[in-house]
Amino acid sequence: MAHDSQDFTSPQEAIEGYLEALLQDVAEYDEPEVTVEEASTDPAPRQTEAVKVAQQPVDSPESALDAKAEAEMSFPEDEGTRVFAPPSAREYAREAAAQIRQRQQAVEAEQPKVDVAYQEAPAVVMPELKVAEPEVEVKTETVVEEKIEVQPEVEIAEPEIQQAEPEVSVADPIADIQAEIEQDNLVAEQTDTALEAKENEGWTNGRPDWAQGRFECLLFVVKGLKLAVPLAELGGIHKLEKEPTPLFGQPGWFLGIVRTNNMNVGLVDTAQWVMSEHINDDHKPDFRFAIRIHNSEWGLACHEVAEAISLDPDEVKWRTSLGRRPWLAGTVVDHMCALIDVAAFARLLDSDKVPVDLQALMADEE
Amino acid sequence: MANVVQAKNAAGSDDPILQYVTFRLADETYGINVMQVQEVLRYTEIAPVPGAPSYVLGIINLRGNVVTVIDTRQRFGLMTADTTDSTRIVIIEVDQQVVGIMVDSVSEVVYLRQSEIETTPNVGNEESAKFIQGVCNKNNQLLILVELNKLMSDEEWAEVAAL
Repeated sequence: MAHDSQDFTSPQEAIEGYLEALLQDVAEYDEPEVTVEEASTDPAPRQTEAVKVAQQPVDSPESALDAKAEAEMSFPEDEGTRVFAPPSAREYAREAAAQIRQRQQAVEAEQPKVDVAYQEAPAVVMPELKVAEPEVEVKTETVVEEKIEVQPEVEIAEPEIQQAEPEVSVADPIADIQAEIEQDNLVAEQTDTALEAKENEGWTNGRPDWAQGRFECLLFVVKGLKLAVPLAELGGIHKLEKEPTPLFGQPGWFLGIVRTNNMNVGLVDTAQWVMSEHINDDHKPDFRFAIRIHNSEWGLACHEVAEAISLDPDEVKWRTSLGRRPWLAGTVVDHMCALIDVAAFARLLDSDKVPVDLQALMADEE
Repeated sequence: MANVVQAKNAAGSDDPILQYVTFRLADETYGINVMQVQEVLRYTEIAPVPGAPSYVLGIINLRGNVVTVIDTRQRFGLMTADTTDSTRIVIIEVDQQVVGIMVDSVSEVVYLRQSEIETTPNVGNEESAKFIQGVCNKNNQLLILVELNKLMSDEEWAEVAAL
């Protein structure tokens, strides 16, 4: 035998080697039995069907084996044209075919495993490694980016808080005033009503004389807080074109004297009165207008003068006692503003009881 | 000058005309009665006096006489400031005592009618609030008139005299 069965590297080579060896063996064994004429006259028929089939292009080992089996099975039938081979050769061919079949089966059994293993290696392991590395890098970058993005969000949130501060500063005094009115009312119920009536000078039926019917009010703004003064007690509105002349030895809420309409008006820092708890060292009295109280030399400094409104007495939550804000007549919830009793304010400023340190006064009473 | 004042007083005895020396202090204009002013000096070196009250800057030698100089800014409750070329020492006489008050500058002498002096709201509890006699609008400017007699109490005057 020319080839050892274990030297075959592929089924096709094994089959080809087997067929070559088979041809050689057949030629050696058939020579004595075959007549010269038959062999010389028609050499082609001498070839067995198996050889013919085997010489044809073999697409696969399986087709070759089938062809070989057909050739073997056809030997007894085609006795006229067939070439007889010795039994040893047949047995050898069967054994070789069985070996080839076993090899083929083994190869088929192994091939999927090898193929799967081979396919899995690049498809699963390698791509995963390649992909995994950038994924880790991307995750790291994204984490850093997210951290960076979080910081600006925090920075953006601060201005929002700063923007919300004016709203809070506006809302707080109103809320404080309303709470104080309720507290003052509660205290007033427990105190002497005779004293209460005395304090509420110029009031009738629990409201000022000018508020017995529908009345007009002028709205003005002080440090974001909307206030209202009745037009009946409004002396005039003056634009502050010059800085007031300060007088030494006066409290901080007294800004000084302004000369207007041939009269000197004492300017009051209204912000320190109505929201003393919100005044700090950074407070800058940059007021633009002075609202002069009728029949008085006092003026309330304000930042803006708004429109005039008409109010019904029922729209105002009137105070029931002077409390610590005697200048407060009540609150108008619909307009979220405090209504100032300017007459009581003027009386307080002209009296000897006018407080000097408003913040200390509020702190003591709290 | 006395003749001019007498002539103006004669014009309306019910509304006498007063003269005030105006000076500047912390960007505001103040006036003191001219009858209490002896003279105005340029700033000169002031010798500090150990143990003197805080409102006393020190003493100066005025032609052989020792004159106590009052720190007007401190007395009025104003911020302190450095001296400049305009700084002056106004020698005044109050209750037969001669003292000097240091001011930023001296401006002029103005004539004021008594009726032109307006009272000011006095809402302060500080002693300095008592120094203000009134205010007067002169030349579109508010003039703060200082009553020197109340500049210091009797105890303080005695304390100054003892220096």
